[in-house]
Amino acid sequence: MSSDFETYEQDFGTITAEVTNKIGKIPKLSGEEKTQLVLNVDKQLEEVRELLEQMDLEVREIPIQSRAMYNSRLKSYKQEVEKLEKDFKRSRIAYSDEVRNELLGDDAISSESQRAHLLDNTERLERSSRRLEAGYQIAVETEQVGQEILANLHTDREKIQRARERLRETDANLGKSSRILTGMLRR
Amino acid sequence: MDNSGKEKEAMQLMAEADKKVKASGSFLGGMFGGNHKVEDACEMYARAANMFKMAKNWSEAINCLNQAIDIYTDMGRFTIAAKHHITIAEVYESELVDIEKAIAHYEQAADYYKGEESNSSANKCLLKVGHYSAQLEQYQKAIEIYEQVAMSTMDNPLLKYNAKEYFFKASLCHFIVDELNAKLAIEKYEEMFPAFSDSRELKLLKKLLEAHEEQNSEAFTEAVKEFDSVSRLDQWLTTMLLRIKKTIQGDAGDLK
Repeated sequence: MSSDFETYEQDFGTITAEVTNKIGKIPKLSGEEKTQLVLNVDKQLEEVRELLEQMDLEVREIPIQSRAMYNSRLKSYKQEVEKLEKDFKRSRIAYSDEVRNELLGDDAISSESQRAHLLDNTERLERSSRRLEAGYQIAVETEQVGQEILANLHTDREKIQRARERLRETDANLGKSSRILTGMLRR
Repeated sequence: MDNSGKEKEAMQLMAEADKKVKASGSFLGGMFGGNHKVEDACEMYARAANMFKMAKNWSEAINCLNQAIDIYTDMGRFTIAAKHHITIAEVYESELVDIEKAIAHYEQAADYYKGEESNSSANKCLLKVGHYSAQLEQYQKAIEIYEQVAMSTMDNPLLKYNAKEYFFKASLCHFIVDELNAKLAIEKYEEMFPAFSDSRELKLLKKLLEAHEEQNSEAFTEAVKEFDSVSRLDQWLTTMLLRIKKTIQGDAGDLK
Protein backbone atom coordinates (compact mmCIF):
# COMPACT_ATOMS: atom_id res chain seq x y z
CA MET A 1 0.00 0.00 0.00
CA SER A 2 2.60 2.48 1.10
CA SER A 3 4.68 1.61 -2.00
CA ASP A 4 1.76 2.69 -4.24
CA PHE A 5 1.52 5.94 -2.26
CA GLU A 6 5.22 6.58 -2.82
CA THR A 7 4.83 5.93 -6.57
CA TYR A 8 2.05 8.53 -6.67
CA GLU A 9 4.31 10.84 -4.70
CA GLN A 10 7.07 10.53 -7.30
CA ASP A 11 4.62 11.24 -10.14
CA PHE A 12 3.28 14.20 -8.16
CA GLY A 13 6.80 15.60 -7.74
CA THR A 14 7.62 15.27 -11.44
CA ILE A 15 4.37 16.86 -12.66
CA THR A 16 4.44 19.75 -10.14
CA ALA A 17 8.04 20.55 -11.13
CA GLU A 18 6.97 20.72 -14.78
CA VAL A 19 3.93 22.84 -13.93
CA THR A 20 6.04 25.29 -11.89
CA ASN A 21 8.46 25.65 -14.79
CA LYS A 22 5.65 26.25 -17.29
CA ILE A 23 3.85 28.76 -15.03
CA GLY A 24 7.08 30.79 -14.99
CA LYS A 25 7.13 30.85 -18.81
CA ILE A 26 3.48 31.88 -19.35
CA PRO A 27 3.88 35.69 -18.75
CA LYS A 28 6.77 35.84 -21.23
CA LEU A 29 4.68 34.42 -24.07
CA SER A 30 1.83 35.85 -26.09
CA GLY A 31 -0.76 34.77 -28.64
CA GLU A 32 -1.03 31.15 -29.75
CA GLU A 33 2.03 29.97 -27.80
CA LYS A 34 0.59 31.29 -24.57
CA THR A 35 -2.82 29.67 -25.20
CA GLN A 36 -1.19 26.29 -25.89
CA LEU A 37 0.91 26.44 -22.75
CA VAL A 38 -2.09 27.48 -20.61
CA LEU A 39 -4.10 24.49 -21.89
CA ASN A 40 -1.13 22.21 -21.26
CA VAL A 41 -0.72 23.42 -17.67
CA ASP A 42 -4.48 23.14 -17.13
CA LYS A 43 -4.34 19.49 -18.22
CA GLN A 44 -1.35 18.77 -15.97
CA LEU A 45 -3.06 20.40 -12.98
CA GLU A 46 -6.03 18.12 -13.64
CA GLU A 47 -3.64 15.15 -13.54
CA VAL A 48 -2.23 16.41 -10.24
CA ARG A 49 -5.73 16.63 -8.77
CA GLU A 50 -6.43 13.04 -9.86
CA LEU A 51 -3.14 11.95 -8.26
CA LEU A 52 -4.20 13.62 -5.02
CA GLU A 53 -7.51 11.72 -5.09
CA GLN A 54 -5.63 8.44 -5.65
CA MET A 55 -3.31 9.26 -2.76
CA ASP A 56 -6.33 10.05 -0.59
CA LEU A 57 -7.81 6.63 -1.34
CA GLU A 58 -4.47 4.98 -0.59
CA VAL A 59 -4.21 6.72 2.78
CA ARG A 60 -7.64 5.44 3.81
CA GLU A 61 -6.47 1.87 3.32
CA ILE A 62 -3.34 2.35 5.45
CA PRO A 63 -3.56 1.05 9.06
CA ILE A 64 -4.62 3.64 11.64
CA GLN A 65 -1.32 3.66 13.59
CA SER A 66 0.73 4.87 10.55
CA ARG A 67 -2.07 6.84 8.85
CA ALA A 68 -1.34 10.16 10.65
CA MET A 69 2.06 10.58 8.97
CA TYR A 70 0.64 9.99 5.47
CA ASN A 71 -2.27 12.32 6.22
CA SER A 72 0.07 15.19 7.05
CA ARG A 73 2.06 14.55 3.84
CA LEU A 74 -1.14 14.54 1.81
CA LYS A 75 -2.24 17.78 3.47
CA SER A 76 1.03 19.51 2.48
CA TYR A 77 0.63 18.26 -1.12
CA LYS A 78 -2.88 19.69 -1.26
CA GLN A 79 -1.55 23.07 -0.04
CA GLU A 80 1.15 22.91 -2.71
CA VAL A 81 -1.45 22.29 -5.42
CA GLU A 82 -3.57 25.20 -4.16
CA LYS A 83 -0.52 27.44 -4.38
CA LEU A 84 0.22 26.20 -7.89
CA GLU A 85 -3.34 26.95 -8.98
CA LYS A 86 -3.10 30.49 -7.58
CA ASP A 87 0.24 31.04 -9.33
CA PHE A 88 -1.27 29.69 -12.55
CA LYS A 89 -4.18 32.14 -12.36
CA ARG A 90 -1.77 35.02 -11.68
CA SER A 91 0.57 34.01 -14.48
CA ARG A 92 -2.22 34.21 -17.05
CA ILE A 93 -2.74 37.93 -16.36
CA ALA A 94 0.79 38.83 -15.26
CA TYR A 95 3.04 41.26 -17.16
CA SER A 96 6.55 40.05 -17.56
CA ASP A 97 9.42 42.27 -16.41
CA GLU A 98 11.23 41.21 -19.55
CA VAL A 99 8.41 42.56 -21.73
CA ARG A 100 8.66 45.88 -19.87
CA ASN A 101 12.43 45.87 -20.14
CA GLU A 102 12.25 45.12 -23.85
CA LEU A 103 10.04 48.17 -24.26
CA LEU A 104 11.99 50.50 -21.99
CA GLY A 105 15.43 49.15 -22.76
CA ASP A 106 16.12 48.48 -19.11
CA ASP A 107 17.32 45.18 -17.79
CA ALA A 108 17.18 46.12 -14.12
CA ILE A 109 14.71 44.24 -11.97
CA SER A 110 12.34 46.49 -10.07
CA SER A 111 11.97 45.28 -6.54
CA GLU A 112 11.59 46.36 -2.97
CA SER A 113 15.31 46.03 -2.28
CA GLN A 114 16.04 48.19 -5.31
CA ARG A 115 13.61 50.84 -4.07
CA ALA A 116 15.31 50.83 -0.68
CA HIS A 117 18.65 51.12 -2.44
CA LEU A 118 17.40 54.10 -4.45
CA LEU A 119 16.08 55.83 -1.34
CA ASP A 120 19.39 55.24 0.37
CA ASN A 121 21.25 56.73 -2.58
CA THR A 122 18.90 59.73 -2.70
CA GLU A 123 19.47 60.39 0.98
CA ARG A 124 23.21 60.12 0.48
CA LEU A 125 23.04 62.54 -2.45
CA GLU A 126 21.03 65.02 -0.41
CA ARG A 127 23.57 64.82 2.41
CA SER A 128 26.38 65.38 -0.08
CA SER A 129 24.49 68.32 -1.62
CA ARG A 130 24.05 69.90 1.79
CA ARG A 131 27.74 69.43 2.51
CA LEU A 132 28.65 70.93 -0.85
CA GLU A 133 26.38 73.92 -0.22
CA ALA A 134 27.96 74.48 3.19
CA GLY A 135 31.39 74.17 1.58
CA TYR A 136 30.39 76.68 -1.09
CA GLN A 137 29.18 79.14 1.55
CA ILE A 138 32.48 78.81 3.40
CA ALA A 139 34.36 79.32 0.13
CA VAL A 140 32.41 82.52 -0.58
CA GLU A 141 33.00 83.78 2.97
CA THR A 142 36.69 82.95 2.65
CA GLU A 143 36.81 84.84 -0.64
CA GLN A 144 35.26 87.91 1.02
CA VAL A 145 37.71 87.76 3.92
CA GLY A 146 40.55 87.33 1.43
CA GLN A 147 39.40 90.40 -0.49
CA GLU A 148 39.38 92.47 2.69
CA ILE A 149 42.85 91.23 3.65
CA LEU A 150 44.21 92.06 0.20
CA ALA A 151 42.67 95.54 0.35
CA ASN A 152 44.27 96.09 3.76
CA LEU A 153 47.59 94.85 2.43
CA HIS A 154 47.35 97.31 -0.43
CA THR A 155 46.65 100.17 1.99
CA ASP A 156 49.62 99.13 4.13
CA ARG A 157 51.80 98.89 1.04
CA GLU A 158 50.92 102.46 0.10
CA LYS A 159 51.68 103.64 3.63
CA ILE A 160 55.06 101.90 3.59
CA GLN A 161 55.87 103.37 0.18
CA ARG A 162 54.96 106.85 1.41
CA ALA A 163 57.05 106.39 4.54
CA ARG A 164 59.95 105.24 2.36
CA GLU A 165 59.64 108.34 0.16
CA ARG A 166 59.59 110.57 3.23
CA LEU A 167 62.66 108.80 4.60
CA ARG A 168 64.45 109.42 1.31
CA GLU A 169 63.48 113.08 1.41
CA THR A 170 64.59 113.32 5.04
CA ASP A 171 67.85 111.61 4.14
CA ALA A 172 68.43 114.10 1.34
CA ASN A 173 67.60 117.01 3.65
CA LEU A 174 69.92 115.64 6.34
CA GLY A 175 72.66 115.35 3.73
CA LYS A 176 72.17 118.99 2.77
CA SER A 177 72.13 120.06 6.44
CA SER A 178 75.31 118.09 7.05
CA ARG A 179 77.04 119.79 4.14
CA ILE A 180 75.89 123.24 5.29
CA LEU A 181 77.09 122.59 8.85
CA THR A 182 80.43 121.28 7.57
CA GLY A 183 80.79 124.46 5.49
CA MET A 184 79.95 126.60 8.51
CA LEU A 185 82.51 124.77 10.66
CA ARG A 186 85.22 125.28 8.04
CA ARG A 187 84.58 129.01 8.06
CA MET B 1 34.18 113.38 34.75
CA ASP B 2 30.65 114.32 33.60
CA ASN B 3 29.70 115.92 30.29
CA SER B 4 29.90 119.51 31.52
CA GLY B 5 33.41 118.86 32.91
CA LYS B 6 34.51 117.44 29.58
CA GLU B 7 33.02 120.42 27.78
CA LYS B 8 34.87 122.84 30.07
CA GLU B 9 38.15 121.07 29.41
CA ALA B 10 37.45 121.14 25.70
CA MET B 11 36.75 124.88 25.84
CA GLN B 12 40.06 125.47 27.66
CA LEU B 13 41.96 123.44 25.05
CA MET B 14 40.24 125.38 22.30
CA ALA B 15 41.11 128.74 23.88
CA GLU B 16 44.73 127.66 24.27
CA ALA B 17 44.87 126.51 20.67
CA ASP B 18 43.43 129.86 19.50
CA LYS B 19 46.13 131.68 21.49
CA LYS B 20 48.88 129.60 19.92
CA VAL B 21 47.55 130.23 16.43
CA LYS B 22 47.46 134.00 17.07
CA ALA B 23 50.94 133.91 18.58
CA SER B 24 52.36 132.11 15.57
CA GLY B 25 50.72 134.70 13.35
CA SER B 26 52.70 137.57 14.89
CA PHE B 27 56.09 138.56 13.41
CA LEU B 28 58.20 137.51 16.41
CA GLY B 29 56.17 134.37 16.92
CA GLY B 30 56.79 133.43 13.32
CA MET B 31 60.51 133.97 13.79
CA PHE B 32 60.79 131.83 16.92
CA GLY B 33 59.20 128.43 16.45
CA GLY B 34 55.93 129.54 14.86
CA ASN B 35 55.55 126.23 13.02
CA HIS B 36 55.89 124.27 16.22
CA LYS B 37 53.18 126.38 17.90
CA VAL B 38 50.79 125.82 15.01
CA GLU B 39 51.30 122.07 15.21
CA ASP B 40 50.61 122.18 18.94
CA ALA B 41 47.47 124.19 18.23
CA CYS B 42 46.30 121.55 15.75
CA GLU B 43 46.84 118.80 18.29
CA MET B 44 44.90 120.79 20.86
CA TYR B 45 42.02 121.30 18.44
CA ALA B 46 41.94 117.55 17.81
CA ARG B 47 41.94 116.81 21.56
CA ALA B 48 39.22 119.42 22.12
CA ALA B 49 37.16 117.80 19.35
CA ASN B 50 37.49 114.43 21.09
CA MET B 51 36.36 115.97 24.38
CA PHE B 52 33.35 117.57 22.67
CA LYS B 53 32.53 114.21 21.10
CA MET B 54 32.63 112.57 24.52
CA ALA B 55 30.32 115.31 25.80
CA LYS B 56 28.11 114.67 22.75
CA ASN B 57 28.47 118.29 21.63
CA TRP B 58 28.75 117.39 17.95
CA SER B 59 28.63 120.85 16.39
CA GLU B 60 31.53 122.11 18.54
CA ALA B 61 33.52 118.95 17.80
CA ILE B 62 33.05 119.58 14.07
CA ASN B 63 34.02 123.22 14.52
CA CYS B 64 37.31 122.22 16.23
CA LEU B 65 38.13 119.69 13.54
CA ASN B 66 37.41 122.25 10.81
CA GLN B 67 39.86 124.67 12.40
CA ALA B 68 42.51 121.94 12.57
CA ILE B 69 41.80 121.11 8.90
CA ASP B 70 42.30 124.75 7.85
CA ILE B 71 45.70 124.85 9.54
CA TYR B 72 46.83 121.48 8.16
CA THR B 73 45.82 122.41 4.61
CA ASP B 74 47.73 125.70 4.93
CA MET B 75 50.76 123.69 6.03
CA GLY B 76 50.31 121.31 3.10
CA ARG B 77 49.67 118.31 5.33
CA PHE B 78 46.71 116.97 3.43
CA THR B 79 46.77 113.41 4.78
CA ILE B 80 45.97 114.52 8.33
CA ALA B 81 43.42 117.00 6.99
CA ALA B 82 41.76 114.13 5.11
CA LYS B 83 41.65 112.04 8.30
CA HIS B 84 39.85 114.88 10.07
CA HIS B 85 37.40 115.19 7.17
CA ILE B 86 36.61 111.49 7.60
CA THR B 87 36.05 112.00 11.34
CA ILE B 88 33.61 114.84 10.57
CA ALA B 89 31.87 112.72 7.93
CA GLU B 90 31.46 109.88 10.45
CA VAL B 91 29.88 112.28 12.95
CA TYR B 92 27.47 113.47 10.26
CA GLU B 93 26.54 109.95 9.15
CA SER B 94 26.11 108.29 12.53
CA GLU B 95 25.27 111.05 15.01
CA LEU B 96 23.72 113.99 13.18
CA VAL B 97 22.37 111.86 10.31
CA ASP B 98 23.04 114.54 7.71
CA ILE B 99 24.08 112.32 4.82
CA GLU B 100 24.59 115.15 2.29
CA LYS B 101 27.20 116.77 4.53
CA ALA B 102 28.81 113.40 5.23
CA ILE B 103 29.11 112.89 1.46
CA ALA B 104 30.71 116.33 1.03
CA HIS B 105 33.35 115.58 3.67
CA TYR B 106 34.09 112.11 2.29
CA GLU B 107 34.53 113.67 -1.16
CA GLN B 108 36.92 116.26 0.24
CA ALA B 109 38.90 113.55 2.05
CA ALA B 110 39.09 111.49 -1.15
CA ASP B 111 40.34 114.55 -3.01
CA TYR B 112 43.11 115.16 -0.48
CA TYR B 113 44.13 111.49 -0.44
CA LYS B 114 44.32 111.43 -4.22
CA GLY B 115 46.60 114.45 -4.16
CA GLU B 116 48.85 112.62 -1.72
CA GLU B 117 48.90 109.46 -3.89
CA SER B 118 47.00 107.49 -1.23
CA ASN B 119 44.76 105.81 -3.75
CA SER B 120 43.44 103.04 -1.53
CA SER B 121 42.37 105.52 1.16
CA ALA B 122 40.86 107.73 -1.54
CA ASN B 123 38.92 104.76 -2.91
CA LYS B 124 37.58 103.91 0.55
CA CYS B 125 36.18 107.42 0.83
CA LEU B 126 34.80 107.33 -2.70
CA LEU B 127 33.04 104.04 -1.98
CA LYS B 128 31.34 105.68 0.97
CA VAL B 129 30.26 108.52 -1.33
CA GLY B 130 28.92 105.99 -3.84
CA HIS B 131 27.14 104.06 -1.10
CA TYR B 132 25.29 107.10 0.24
CA SER B 133 24.69 108.67 -3.18
CA ALA B 134 22.81 105.55 -4.26
CA GLN B 135 20.80 105.62 -1.04
CA LEU B 136 19.88 109.24 -1.75
CA GLU B 137 18.84 108.15 -5.28
CA GLN B 138 21.71 110.02 -6.94
CA TYR B 139 22.31 106.98 -9.12
CA GLN B 140 24.36 108.62 -11.86
CA LYS B 141 26.89 109.85 -9.33
CA ALA B 142 27.02 106.43 -7.66
CA ILE B 143 27.52 104.70 -11.03
CA GLU B 144 30.41 107.00 -11.93
CA ILE B 145 32.10 106.39 -8.59
CA TYR B 146 31.69 102.60 -8.65
CA GLU B 147 32.95 102.43 -12.24
CA GLN B 148 35.90 104.67 -11.44
CA VAL B 149 36.89 102.60 -8.38
CA ALA B 150 36.36 99.32 -10.25
CA MET B 151 38.61 100.47 -13.08
CA SER B 152 41.34 101.57 -10.70
CA THR B 153 41.25 98.23 -8.84
CA MET B 154 40.85 96.06 -11.94
CA ASP B 155 44.52 96.04 -12.95
CA ASN B 156 45.90 95.87 -9.43
CA PRO B 157 47.01 92.34 -8.46
CA LEU B 158 45.89 92.87 -4.86
CA LEU B 159 42.60 94.62 -5.52
CA LYS B 160 41.33 92.97 -8.72
CA TYR B 161 39.19 90.52 -6.70
CA ASN B 162 37.12 93.44 -5.41
CA ALA B 163 36.37 94.81 -8.88
CA LYS B 164 33.43 92.46 -9.49
CA GLU B 165 31.68 93.78 -6.38
CA TYR B 166 31.95 97.36 -7.62
CA PHE B 167 30.76 96.43 -11.10
CA PHE B 168 27.85 94.59 -9.49
CA LYS B 169 26.87 97.67 -7.49
CA ALA B 170 27.19 99.91 -10.54
CA SER B 171 24.98 97.48 -12.48
CA LEU B 172 22.32 97.58 -9.77
CA CYS B 173 22.30 101.38 -9.90
CA HIS B 174 21.94 101.18 -13.70
CA PHE B 175 19.11 98.67 -13.25
CA ILE B 176 17.15 101.04 -11.00
CA VAL B 177 17.48 103.82 -13.57
CA ASP B 178 16.71 101.74 -16.65
CA GLU B 179 16.67 98.05 -17.57
CA LEU B 180 18.19 98.54 -21.04
CA ASN B 181 20.97 100.66 -19.55
CA ALA B 182 21.72 97.84 -17.14
CA LYS B 183 21.99 95.31 -19.98
CA LEU B 184 24.39 97.49 -21.93
CA ALA B 185 26.43 98.25 -18.81
CA ILE B 186 26.74 94.56 -17.95
CA GLU B 187 27.97 93.77 -21.46
CA LYS B 188 30.51 96.58 -21.18
CA TYR B 189 31.73 95.35 -17.78
CA GLU B 190 32.09 91.79 -19.08
CA GLU B 191 34.27 93.05 -21.92
CA MET B 192 36.35 95.21 -19.62
CA PHE B 193 36.77 92.62 -16.89
CA PRO B 194 36.37 89.00 -18.09
CA ALA B 195 36.48 87.63 -14.51
CA PHE B 196 33.09 89.30 -13.98
CA SER B 197 31.54 86.82 -16.44
CA ASP B 198 32.00 83.84 -14.10
CA SER B 199 30.84 85.59 -10.96
CA ARG B 200 27.76 84.78 -8.88
CA GLU B 201 26.90 88.46 -9.03
CA LEU B 202 26.59 88.44 -12.82
CA LYS B 203 24.47 85.27 -12.74
CA LEU B 204 22.14 86.98 -10.27
CA LEU B 205 21.95 90.11 -12.45
CA LYS B 206 21.03 88.05 -15.50
CA LYS B 207 18.30 86.21 -13.59
CA LEU B 208 16.97 89.52 -12.28
CA LEU B 209 16.94 91.05 -15.76
CA GLU B 210 15.05 88.03 -17.07
CA ALA B 211 12.52 88.19 -14.22
CA HIS B 212 12.12 91.93 -14.75
CA GLU B 213 11.55 91.48 -18.48
CA GLU B 214 8.86 88.91 -17.78
CA GLN B 215 7.47 91.07 -14.94
CA ASN B 216 7.75 87.98 -12.74
CA SER B 217 8.20 89.01 -9.12
CA GLU B 218 8.26 85.37 -7.91
CA ALA B 219 11.24 84.56 -10.13
CA PHE B 220 12.91 87.77 -8.94
CA THR B 221 12.43 86.85 -5.28
CA GLU B 222 13.59 83.29 -5.93
CA ALA B 223 16.82 84.49 -7.56
CA VAL B 224 17.51 86.86 -4.66
CA LYS B 225 16.77 84.13 -2.10
CA GLU B 226 19.16 81.77 -3.84
CA PHE B 227 21.93 84.39 -3.76
CA ASP B 228 21.19 85.26 -0.13
CA SER B 229 21.36 81.60 0.91
CA VAL B 230 25.05 81.53 -0.04
CA SER B 231 26.14 84.96 1.20
CA ARG B 232 23.82 87.16 3.20
CA LEU B 233 22.75 90.38 1.50
CA ASP B 234 23.80 93.53 3.32
CA GLN B 235 21.46 96.45 4.00
CA TRP B 236 22.53 98.43 0.93
CA LEU B 237 22.00 95.54 -1.49
CA THR B 238 18.65 94.71 0.12
CA THR B 239 17.50 98.31 -0.32
CA MET B 240 18.61 98.50 -3.95
CA LEU B 241 17.11 95.12 -4.87
CA LEU B 242 13.85 96.10 -3.21
CA ARG B 243 13.75 99.30 -5.28
CA ILE B 244 14.23 97.24 -8.43
CA LYS B 245 11.57 94.75 -7.34
CA LYS B 246 9.08 97.54 -6.81
CA THR B 247 9.46 98.54 -10.45
CA ILE B 248 7.90 95.21 -11.44
CA GLN B 249 4.29 96.06 -12.28
CA GLY B 250 1.64 95.27 -9.75
CA ASP B 251 4.12 94.34 -7.07
CA ALA B 252 3.80 96.04 -3.74
CA GLY B 253 5.48 93.31 -1.71
CA ASP B 254 9.03 93.29 -0.47
CA LEU B 255 11.97 90.90 -0.49
CA LYS B 256 11.34 88.01 1.82
